[in-house]
Amino acid sequence: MEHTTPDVDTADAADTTDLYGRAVATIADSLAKAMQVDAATITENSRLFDELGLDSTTVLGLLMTIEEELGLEFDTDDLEQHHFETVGTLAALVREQADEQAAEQTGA
Amino acid sequence: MGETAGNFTGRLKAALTGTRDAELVFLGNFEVEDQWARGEPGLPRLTFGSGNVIVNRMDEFALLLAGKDDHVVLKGEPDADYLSHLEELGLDLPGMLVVERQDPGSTVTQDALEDQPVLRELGRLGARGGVLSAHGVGELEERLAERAGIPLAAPSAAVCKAVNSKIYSRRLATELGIRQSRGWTCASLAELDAAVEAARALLADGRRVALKDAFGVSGKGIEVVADERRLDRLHRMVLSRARKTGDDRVGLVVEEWVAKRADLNYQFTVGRDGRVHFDFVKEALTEGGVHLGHRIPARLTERQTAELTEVSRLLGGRLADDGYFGVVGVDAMVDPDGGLYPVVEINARHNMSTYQASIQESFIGSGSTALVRRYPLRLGAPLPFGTLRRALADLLFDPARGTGLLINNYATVNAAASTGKRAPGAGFDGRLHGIVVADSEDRLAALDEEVGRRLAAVAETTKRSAGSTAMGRQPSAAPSWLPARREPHIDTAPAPLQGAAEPQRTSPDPLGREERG
Repeated sequence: MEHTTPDVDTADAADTTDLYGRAVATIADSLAKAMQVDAATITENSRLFDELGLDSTTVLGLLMTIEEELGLEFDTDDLEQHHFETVGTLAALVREQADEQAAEQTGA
Repeated sequence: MGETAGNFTGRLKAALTGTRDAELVFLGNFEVEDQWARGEPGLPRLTFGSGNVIVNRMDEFALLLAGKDDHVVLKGEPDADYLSHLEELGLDLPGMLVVERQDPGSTVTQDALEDQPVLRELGRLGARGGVLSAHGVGELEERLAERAGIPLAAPSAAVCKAVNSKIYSRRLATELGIRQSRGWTCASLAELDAAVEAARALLADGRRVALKDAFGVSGKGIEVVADERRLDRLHRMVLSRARKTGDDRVGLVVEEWVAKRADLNYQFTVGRDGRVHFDFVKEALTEGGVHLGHRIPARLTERQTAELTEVSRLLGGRLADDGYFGVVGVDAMVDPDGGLYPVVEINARHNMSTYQASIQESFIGSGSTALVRRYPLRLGAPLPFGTLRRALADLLFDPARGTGLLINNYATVNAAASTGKRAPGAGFDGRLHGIVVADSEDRLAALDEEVGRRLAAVAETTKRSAGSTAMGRQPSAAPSWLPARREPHIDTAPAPLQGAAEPQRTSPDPLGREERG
C-alpha cells in the first residue's frame, strides 16, 4: 500500500479529524509493511501489542516513522502504556500532541 | 542434579564462594538491565506490552542450574507433571522457595521482597551458610539479601552495573586492543554531537550506523539507521530530553553496523581470586534475519576458539581488577571473511546459556548437535504440561537414545494466562524453551520442524477448548511480525531450519527493526 499522506506543509493543522485519519493510515501502513500483510486488514481497533506484534524494541521505530510521515515530534516523556493499546489510541495521541504543539506555537 | 550436573555448577560455586560445595540459592531475575538503566540517559525507553510477564517467568530456568542441595526462588509452583518429567530424566531437583502471591508484572526479586515466608526461609538458609546467587545484581537484589539476612555471592550492584554498560565494554575493548567496529562512546552531549558528525560520514559512504543504549537488554535498545534524517531525529530526541532535564549526561554508543556471517555468544567465569575460566562458545542461528536459537557446538576453527579464549583471559583480568567476579557472557560476531569481532557487548551476569550449561554437560554428547530454541505459542487457554507431553510424546528427550527435545522452562508457556487483562475470547502469547538434540544436522532440522508442527496443533486445541475464534492474526502473516524478528511463530507453520547463519538483513525495514540473538 502506498502512502497517501498529504504534504504536511499544506495540511491544515487545525483539521484534527483529518490528522487522526492520516495517523491511522500511517500506523497501519507501517505495521503492514513490517508484517508483510495487507494494510486493509488493520483497523483502528487492532491491538498493537497483542495482534500486531509491536514490542519494546520496535515501538521507537514506529514513532519515528509517524513523526516523519506526519511532520510532528513526540514528547517521549508523555508516552504511557494506554496510548499503545490500539491503532486508534496511538492515532489519538498523535492528534493530542499535534494540538499541543500547535498551541505552543500559537502562544509563542 | 546429582553428580552429572556437578561440573559447571560446582565450578560456579567455587568461583563465587571459594568452595565447590557451597549451598546456593538461585534467583532468576532476568532483565536486570531494567534496574541498571533506571535514570540513565539512553534512547527513549518505551517498555510496554506483556513481554515482561513472560520474561519474569524465566525465573524457572534456575531449576536446571541448581544442584540437589541448592535452592531456587520461584514466582510460582512449577507444573507438577513437568517436575516429574525432569525427575524421570534423572535430574535431582533443588529445594524450591515459592512466593505465595506473585504479581505477573514483577520480577521474582520484587515478589520475594513482599513475601514474609520466603524472606524468613532465605534468612534461615543464610544463617547456616547459604548464599544468594542472582541472575544479575541490581539494588533490588541487594535489598532482598539485606532484608532476608543472606549474603549475595556477587560484587556490589554498583560494580555490576558499571561493568555492564556498553560504554564500559567499548572502552575496555579499545584499551585491550581488541578488534571492534568503528564507533564512539557517548557519555555526554558533546561526545554525542561529535559521534553524530562522525556517523554522518559513514552514512554518506553507504554504511549503516547503530545507536545503542548503554544499558539496553541484549538485542534491545538498539536503533539502526541508514540515513541522516533518522540519525538527526534520534539525536534531536536525546537533545530534547536533555534540555528538559538539564542533564547533559548521555548513555549511548554509536557504531558502524557491520556485515557479519554469524553471531556468537561465549561465556567465562571470573573467580573471587581473579582466576578466569573459559566455559563455552555458542553460535546464534538466524535465517533471513530471524533468530532461531543457538547452535551447539559453534562452527568455529581452533584458531577462532583460541582467540576467544585469549580475549576471555584479557577481559576477565580487567573485570577482576575492577572488582567483578562471577559469570560473564560476551556477544561476538564473525565477519563475512571469518574474522572475529570478539567483543560486541559484555554481559557480566548470568546469560541464557548459563542455565543450559549443566544439562548440556549431562545430556549433549560430543557426537550430538543441538539447537537451543524458543517456540512462540498463541494459546486460547492454559496448556498443562501433561497435555503437551502427550502431544510431543516420542519427540521428548530420551536419555537412552541421547536425542529429542529437552524442555528447560515450562513457566513461560502459561505465564501470560493469568494477567487478567485479556479481552474475552482473546488468546495470549506463551513461549516454550527447549533444546533439540540430534545426531545429525538433518535429523536436527527434521526434529525441530516436527516439534513446531505438533506444538501448533496442540496450541490449536487450546483455542477450541477456550471457545475462542480468530486470534486477530492473518494467515498470510506467517511468520507473524512479533516473532518474525526473532523466531517463526508456532501459531502458523514453523520455518524450516537451514544450517548456515545468515548475514544481517540488508533490505530496508520501515520500522528500522533489527535482529539480535
